[in-house]
Amino acid sequence: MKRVETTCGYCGCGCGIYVNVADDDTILGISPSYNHVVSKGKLCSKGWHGFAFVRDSRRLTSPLIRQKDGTFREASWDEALDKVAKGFKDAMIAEDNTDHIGIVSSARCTNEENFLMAKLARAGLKTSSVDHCARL
Amino acid sequence: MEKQLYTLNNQELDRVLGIWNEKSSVYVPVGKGEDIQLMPLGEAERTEDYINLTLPVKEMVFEQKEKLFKWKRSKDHIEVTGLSGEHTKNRIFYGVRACDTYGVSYTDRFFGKEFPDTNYQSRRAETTIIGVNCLRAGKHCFCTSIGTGVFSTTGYDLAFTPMDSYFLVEVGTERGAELIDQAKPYFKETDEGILKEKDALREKVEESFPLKMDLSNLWDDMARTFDADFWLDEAHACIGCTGCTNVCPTCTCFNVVEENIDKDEGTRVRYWDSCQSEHFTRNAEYHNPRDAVSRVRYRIYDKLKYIEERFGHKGCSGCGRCTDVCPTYISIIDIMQAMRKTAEENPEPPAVHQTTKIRHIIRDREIKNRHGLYAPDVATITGIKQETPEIKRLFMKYDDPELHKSYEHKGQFFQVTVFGKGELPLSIPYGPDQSDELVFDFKDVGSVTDVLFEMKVGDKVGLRGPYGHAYPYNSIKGRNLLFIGSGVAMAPLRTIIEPAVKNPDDFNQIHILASALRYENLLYKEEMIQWAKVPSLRVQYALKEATDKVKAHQGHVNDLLPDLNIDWSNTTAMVCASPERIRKVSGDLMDLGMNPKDILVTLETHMRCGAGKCGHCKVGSHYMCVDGPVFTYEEMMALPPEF
Amino acid sequence: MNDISDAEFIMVIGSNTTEQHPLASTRIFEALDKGAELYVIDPRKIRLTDFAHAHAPIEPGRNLPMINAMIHVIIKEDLVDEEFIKNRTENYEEMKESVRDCTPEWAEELSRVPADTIRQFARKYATTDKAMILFTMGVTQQTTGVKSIRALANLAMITGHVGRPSTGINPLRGQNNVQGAGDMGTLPDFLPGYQRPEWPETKERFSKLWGDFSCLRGRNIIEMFNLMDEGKMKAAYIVGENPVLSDPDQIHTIHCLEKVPFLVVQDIFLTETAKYADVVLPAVSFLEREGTYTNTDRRVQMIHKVIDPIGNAKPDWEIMIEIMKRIGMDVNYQSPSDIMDEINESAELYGGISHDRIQEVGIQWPCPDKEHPGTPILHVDEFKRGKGLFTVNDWEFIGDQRSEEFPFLVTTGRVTHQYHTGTMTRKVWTLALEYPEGFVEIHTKDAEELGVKDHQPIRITSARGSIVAPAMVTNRINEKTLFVPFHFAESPANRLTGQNLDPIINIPALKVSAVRIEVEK
Repeated sequence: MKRVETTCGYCGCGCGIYVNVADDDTILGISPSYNHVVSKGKLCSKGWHGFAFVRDSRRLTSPLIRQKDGTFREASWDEALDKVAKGFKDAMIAEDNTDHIGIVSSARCTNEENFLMAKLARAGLKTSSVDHCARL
Repeated sequence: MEKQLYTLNNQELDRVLGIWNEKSSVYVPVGKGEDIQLMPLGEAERTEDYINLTLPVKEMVFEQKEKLFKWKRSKDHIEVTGLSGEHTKNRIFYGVRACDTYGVSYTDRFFGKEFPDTNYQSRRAETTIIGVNCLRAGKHCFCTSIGTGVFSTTGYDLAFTPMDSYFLVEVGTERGAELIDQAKPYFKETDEGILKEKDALREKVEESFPLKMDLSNLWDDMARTFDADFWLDEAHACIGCTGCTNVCPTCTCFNVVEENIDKDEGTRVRYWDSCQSEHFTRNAEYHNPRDAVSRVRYRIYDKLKYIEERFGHKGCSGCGRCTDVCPTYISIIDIMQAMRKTAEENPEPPAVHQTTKIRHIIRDREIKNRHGLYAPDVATITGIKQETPEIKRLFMKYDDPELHKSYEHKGQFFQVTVFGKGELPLSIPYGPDQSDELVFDFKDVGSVTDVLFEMKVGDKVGLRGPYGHAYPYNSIKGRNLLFIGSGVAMAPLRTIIEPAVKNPDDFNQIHILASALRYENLLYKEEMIQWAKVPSLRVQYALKEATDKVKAHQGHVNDLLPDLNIDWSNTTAMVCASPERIRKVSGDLMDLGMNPKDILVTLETHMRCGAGKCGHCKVGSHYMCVDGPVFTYEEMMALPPEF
Repeated sequence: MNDISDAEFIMVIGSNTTEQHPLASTRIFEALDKGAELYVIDPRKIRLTDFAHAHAPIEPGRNLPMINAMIHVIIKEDLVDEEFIKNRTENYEEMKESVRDCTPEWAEELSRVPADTIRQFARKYATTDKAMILFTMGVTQQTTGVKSIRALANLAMITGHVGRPSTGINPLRGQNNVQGAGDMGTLPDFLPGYQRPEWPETKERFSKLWGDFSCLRGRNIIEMFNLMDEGKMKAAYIVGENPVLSDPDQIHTIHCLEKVPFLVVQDIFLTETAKYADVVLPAVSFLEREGTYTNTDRRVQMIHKVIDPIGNAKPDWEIMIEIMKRIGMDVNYQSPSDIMDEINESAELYGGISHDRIQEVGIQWPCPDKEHPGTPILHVDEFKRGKGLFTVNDWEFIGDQRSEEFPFLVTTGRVTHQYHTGTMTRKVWTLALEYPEGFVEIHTKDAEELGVKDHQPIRITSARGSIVAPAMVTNRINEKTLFVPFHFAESPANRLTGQNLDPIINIPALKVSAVRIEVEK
């Protein structure tokens, strides 16, 4: 078994948790972290239980592409990413695409990912329209 | 077993652990600061500098999440495979404190008897526990007040006491003795003289405990503070995080969850559940017998009283973890002190349900399931009858006909599985006569019954059972029988009506009072007309809406009681209804002169596992599923008012 | 957050702390244990009010008059910290003049909080040494949200409750990394590290790091959707967000998503938003990736990969890198740690925060270099801009008000056991059981008048749309006021909310919508 020390992914408190994982990679549950500077061994119900969605059968496990009839079909990463890149490139019209391409990032993503989103938007797609959900 | 005592030089411990690790997987405390956890030897540095493990060793024998069984549907059958044996084998846990070895001795008792829990037993059989006694107390330790520590007295295979340069090693079990044999050269035999040193050390450690409470009056204090004001503050504070029960060495409640791969394949697992969750006792129609106050209070009473009352083991090991983890500073220590103070300064009259001596006898039972206690056997629906607009009758046969022969009928209900959806308890209205077919009447009230309601002949379900205790038969022979039931609640009564109808000479007068909103909603309409043909049997109806189908009283069933004209002292009444209705009817029956011992009621609230293990149906020190669901009204009144 | 437990007075405004930030409420309980007093301003008798020494049952959307009246009282009764005002602030006289007529009686009319209660709040706040204000979206998601926060800043400055331990005005951030997302510059008006696009040094710094880039003020999320509606926005990339449930005016949101010609949604489930996408990319949860989150204390903390990604899903950063490469960007990151190295270069606030340094304990920014220990308290000696600026925040009526047609105000919020749009928490059995469905809190008296029973489904309708949810009859909410949690797709609170924006930073007034009620048969 292993116990992985990490930060709870729910609210802005940022509590410390250990995730207990069985040898077959099943997530068994959570142990609190007494050492953690924020949570000091205490957690709320989301901290204790919030991991259990991870292997839900409704998880997306493959890229999806919308077909003509409106339904989705599964696609390979290469196909999906090429389509995304082409779609974005087609939408780029001039030096500045601020009104043409909108980027919505997330407080669910890490700092590193948000940084990439800001860079992708401003340096790659040449749009300044990048936002996340802080207002909501 | 004769006391075996050894010493082990401190320096040689790691070598010994290494030897044991060759044949078993040794787990040792690792971590730093206050985060100490059991991890396989060698994965991180072993520590000796710790108060306690973050989670009790319980997490290894009753895991946070366990698989119960898997099922797979093929063209015309469903295959069920029990998974209680799927876990890591042959593990040794070194470094367990007295509070947790104590906890294991309780969980051994809890899971090991009545209906033995196959998952627990399988894991426990592969577990060796080596206690290491504490030399100092944590902030919220109070094992010395409870009496479970400070040194281990039970629940260990080997117990180590750190003396100066060596450990005193006490052998608790044969398994412990085998371990000594595996590393024999390192263990030096010693005699009982050394126990004096150990006792002196224990006294020294006990004296260093910051917290020492006199709990000799605890149960009396509890009886006098059941409705005290301080419970409201505790209830306001609880945010239902469930931390307190998660970290408790003696908390054993669980909930089962379906984890499906697709519609034809899935696994049923169990997760730790908590009585501190609001949903723990809430039913499909929003009704919850435990409000915020009773929730918080129930945990404390369970730990300090109900467990001990039932199993003879202390329900609290004094580890203090629940206080450590509470985000809103609810403290069992503060509560015990508040109980003491309130009982002294502002006592209530003792609560009857806390002082009553009326207790059920615990009986050992075993169910002959093919794949372990929690895995159902597959059955096929052979017939369907629409009883009322919202009640259906299903006829089922086990796919393996032998199973029909193998169970002795002494239960009251089965656990019916809808694969991929869940499980629910259904009573067996046909009673002992069913030898090759099972029949269930049920009402569509929730997500599982929704699916069951739509099932067709040939569809597969799973069955476990029978559970619970049936109505007594022999002991009520010769008496008047009075059956009172409404709607689908007639189903459990039928288990005794049917044999009574077949053998009317066994009884004096038989009265059936059936109530419903309207005639169409009544269960067993045709049967009742047939039953009424027995000369000593009379059926009366109490309906809210008038009908032209039968002669019926328009109003409550209670109205019919005074005119029954029977010898109440020689009558046994069987009442099946909601707890509120039971109270009303039983009150009237007692006014007419009935003894509450002769009123039999069924309490089916919140039964989930059926085997007295999952904890959902526990009221006071009783489990509705194994002690009941049939109780006398006297017993029902002796329960805390939380069902 | 540790600061909270040493406060002597805590004023919680528009924050249901025990439900939204349970571990922040732990600190409040610690403070209470040490004898602190707790004052709560909220239209609902939230759990904290059970422990509060005073509760102001305020009308939704009317925080500003109450705060201005508190300032009025403090000035009038001469409870101000003159030293602090003189040395550390500017523009005091103008602000003072602006609240001259903001008497508690005037505020009572608007906020329904009794004038004496307002006085009590003001006096207690002004006269306690370690007095702290905690707030969340209950303050910001209103048409006067920014003004209210500025007024809170005025309140803190006139009493000198700034820059010392256990004082200040402290926003609790709703989502795990909402702080970090802003820090990293996923904002239309900032580059990473809150560097304004119009500052010359911004252009210079990022040209070096990124080459040619768009250095304008862009459109925020609300404006983006409006551009989609107008047909101007040709493509959108939504990562880890579910605007169909979380954004105001759901019908408008869906219309916009249908209209935008090319929509990419990246998420872990096929969310209500993903259903409108042209391409859906499967991402992973916080348990399947490496990286850092920044909590509400500005503390940058590690998250570690617990299990491998499910199926063919990929961590967001890997997907983003793939897209960057495919649109021709020259990027070469091997790991999130490499990205953090570039963040160090880009933003001084994060200058010294590397993955190596925060393996065990997170660091609070600003942390300009590798030797810097981080910064637990902001504004100790001076404000970011030098002197603290008093602002004038006059009350004005904008947005939804009660009317004959819509006699109730509905406010939205969260419950402990669910999170945001429920994408994850509703798939966790125990959390889903705890709150299986949405509900509408309604005062007992209103319920009686309308003949609404507990758990009975009721329809609530605003000018934007309507939802049905079971009633939860309670006396823990103001009369003529309703509360709806926004986690539930079947009864989406944001079908009711509107486009009434705060005119200054465009936060929608999610906390105030006028509605009517009909009983469902």
